[in-house]
Amino acid sequence: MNRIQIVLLTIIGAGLWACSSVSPLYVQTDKIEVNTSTQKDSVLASFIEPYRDSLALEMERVIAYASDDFINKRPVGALGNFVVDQTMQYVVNKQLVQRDDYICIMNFGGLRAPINKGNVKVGDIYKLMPFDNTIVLLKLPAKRISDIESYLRNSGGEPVGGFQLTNDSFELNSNKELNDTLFVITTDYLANGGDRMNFFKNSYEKINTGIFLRDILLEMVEKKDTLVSYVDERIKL
Amino acid sequence: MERRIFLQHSMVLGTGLVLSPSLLAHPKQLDGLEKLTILHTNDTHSNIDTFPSNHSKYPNQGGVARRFSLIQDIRSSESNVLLLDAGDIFQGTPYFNKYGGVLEMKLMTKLGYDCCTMGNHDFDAGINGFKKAHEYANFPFVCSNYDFDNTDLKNVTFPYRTFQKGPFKVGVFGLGPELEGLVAKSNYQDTIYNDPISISNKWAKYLRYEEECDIVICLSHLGYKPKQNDMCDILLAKETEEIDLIIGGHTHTFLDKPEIHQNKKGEKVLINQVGWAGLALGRIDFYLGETKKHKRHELIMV
Repeated sequence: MNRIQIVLLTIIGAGLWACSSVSPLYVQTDKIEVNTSTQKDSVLASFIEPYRDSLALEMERVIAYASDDFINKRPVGALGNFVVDQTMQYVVNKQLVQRDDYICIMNFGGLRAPINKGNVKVGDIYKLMPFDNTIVLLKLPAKRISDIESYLRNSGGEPVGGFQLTNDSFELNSNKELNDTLFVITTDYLANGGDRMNFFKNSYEKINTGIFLRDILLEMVEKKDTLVSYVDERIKL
Repeated sequence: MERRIFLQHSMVLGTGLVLSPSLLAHPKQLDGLEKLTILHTNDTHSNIDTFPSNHSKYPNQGGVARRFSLIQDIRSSESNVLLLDAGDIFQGTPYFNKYGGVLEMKLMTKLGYDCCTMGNHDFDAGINGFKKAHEYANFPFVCSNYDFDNTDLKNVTFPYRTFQKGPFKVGVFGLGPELEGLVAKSNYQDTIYNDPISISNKWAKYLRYEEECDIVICLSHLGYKPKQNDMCDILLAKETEEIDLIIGGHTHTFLDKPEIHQNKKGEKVLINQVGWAGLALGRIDFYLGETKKHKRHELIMV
């Protein structure tokens, strides 16, 4: 491009710019962290206070002590293990099932808060399981296992129990032979196909116990003095 | 904007690049221009108190009373402020379980929210639970792709709202995700989910050309990135026209600053999302170079 062309194109460019129907809108952005470096608005804080007080009476009640943090992690986390194993234990204790080959599948996204090291209060269990999810018992065609496997491989893991999944195998913890039926404990949310666990839509028996998962956790935690976290290899991808 | 495309496809590109950034990127005096401040949150999930100091991820962060202080500070120095939320106000702390979302609505009213959309968890108290809590909200909810005509939410929400803030006319509409498989049917009842893309193109164009809005904002609870073949903000930005800013939610994504995407016509669309739980307040300031009705303004990041 020679100098004359450059000058010419500059003039054309300037002309086009001047004729432009577009007007500029300049944008500046900021992300403001909300933390204790900002003082609370005192009027709003006192408005909230009575609501907090009446909640606190119940929610601040200490029901156990956690010796570690229980974190929600994929493929396996201490939080998921705890929720699943306590639920399975509860179901057995209450004789809701009469078999030892039930598996349990919950969803990573459904566990909404960790259990932090220290005193565990009623409110912590509410934060962990704020949803009014109930426990559902399913009978599923055993051939759906492949769907469950691929779902878990695809998602990177969910809170599960009663089986071990590795890269090339799926094994029930129970010694029972797997025949036509897979027995599953899950939540009403997932049993209805929530989080795209569509394989549950193929269940041929669905019993909603009507028992809130949160209430199960509250009852199980309250029975213990100390909660100890553990991470195993129930899913190893 | 037509000019920009032309420049990119022609020999003028070389000189255009020399010329236009110097003219466009350095406004003579930003301070003298008319300014609109957008403040936004998403997925606050009933987080009213500041997280405790032993919280394993976000100790001492968040809290509605602290957020209110920040908002008041900004309102005291800025004259044109719009406070928006992209949904999932409900569910996440015992406050929701005990008060059914009423406290969240009362607090958002006190904070002076101008407009919100519904997220999937805002159905967690059912259609009637939302309606009851909504009685305590003095700000509008925009739900453009949910058809509530066969539910008790008929005429409770709006397809869009416009706001005059100083010289700025701002149009706001809202999108929510597919409810089937995500929300219990008993909670959303006969709500019909409509395709976000066609709905957006309809309302964004309407807001731009019929309502003559300077800025069109979409409050989206679709989620930031595609998860399987899902609808999401990135796809929404790409497949639509006339949206300037998508304020997102649902995926709890922490973006440090708005991302710039290209819309169907190759124009800029901003996408922002500020995580969840009220841990941060998003802020976007628009400075108007000159007002031109019926025209989209070119967004220039400074």
